[in-house]
Amino acid sequence: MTSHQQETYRQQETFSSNKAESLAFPTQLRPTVQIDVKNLDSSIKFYQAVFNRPATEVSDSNARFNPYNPPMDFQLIKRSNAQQRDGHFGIQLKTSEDIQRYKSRLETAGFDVELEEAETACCFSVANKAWLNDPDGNQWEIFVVTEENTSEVRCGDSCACEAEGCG
Amino acid sequence: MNSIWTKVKPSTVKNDSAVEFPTKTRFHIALNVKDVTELKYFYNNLFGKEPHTERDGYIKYDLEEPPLNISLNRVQHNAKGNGNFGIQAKDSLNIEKIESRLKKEGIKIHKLNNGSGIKVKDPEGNQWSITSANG
Repeated sequence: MTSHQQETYRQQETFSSNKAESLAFPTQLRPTVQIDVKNLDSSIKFYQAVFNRPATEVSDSNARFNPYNPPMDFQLIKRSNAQQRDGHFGIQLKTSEDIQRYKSRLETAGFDVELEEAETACCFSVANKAWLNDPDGNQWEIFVVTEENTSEVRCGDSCACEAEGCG
Repeated sequence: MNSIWTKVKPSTVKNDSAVEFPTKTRFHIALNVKDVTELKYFYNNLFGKEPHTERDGYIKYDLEEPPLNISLNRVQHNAKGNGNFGIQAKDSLNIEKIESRLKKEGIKIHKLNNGSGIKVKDPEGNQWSITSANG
C-alpha cells in the first residue's frame, strides 16, 4: 500500500485513536475471528479493502481490524505454515446494489471477484453473491439473501458451495 | 457514535433482503463439519438459541447478539476443526451468562489467565473464546 492510499483510508477515520475505534461497536456482543496468514502485508491490503478501513493494530506478527459494519474483531496472525481454512466467511448485506460497491472497491484495490451469482439456490435459500479469495485462498462471500428457507434443494447446480463438497 | 459509514450515501435501491437484522451488515461464518447433530447441542448453549434453519446435514443460526449468521455444513471430505472464533462482550455480565449456560451442560471451560473471560472447544475442535471487549 502506498502512503497516499494509506492516507486516503486514514482520512475516513473520525475516531480519536485506534484504541477508541477498536472498541466501538453498535451491539452488546460482537463476533471475533483469528486466522493465520502467510504474508501479512498482502493480507492487510486485502482486508483493508474488504472492510473499507485501516487496521486498528499492526505489528510485525499480527494485524487487527475492527469494522463497525459488520461489527467484528478480526485478527490476522503471521505464520509461515498458514493454510487455507476449511469453510468460508462472508458479509451479509440487505441491498443487492451494495454488493456492487464492495465489488468495485475491491477491484480498485486490485482484488478481482472470482464469481458472481444472481438468484442462486444455496443452503435452502436464494441469494445474490460475489465471491472473493484472500491471499491465502480463504473464501469470502458478499451476499444478500433474497428468499429465505424457500427451497428444499440444498444447493443449485451453480452454487459455489457445491465445490466444498456439501451434502 | 462516529463511523465512516455515516458518510456513505444511502442506497437508492430499497432493501431486497428477505432477512431482517438490526445492524447494517452482518458477519457470516460457514463451518464445514462432520456431524451437525452433535454440534447443535454445543452451539445452542453457546448462543442460547435454537437454530433458525435446520435440515439434514445443515443448521444455521441467525443471531442479533452477536450480529452473526453462522452455518454448519456437513461435508463429505474430512472436515477439520481449525477455527479460532470468539464473542466479545461490552458487559462482563454477558460473559457470565454464557459461561453459566455452558457450565450447566457440562461443557469443559478454561478460564483465561488474565481474567478476561473463558475458552471452550466445540466437539470438532473449533475454539471459541468469550472475552471482554475491553481487552
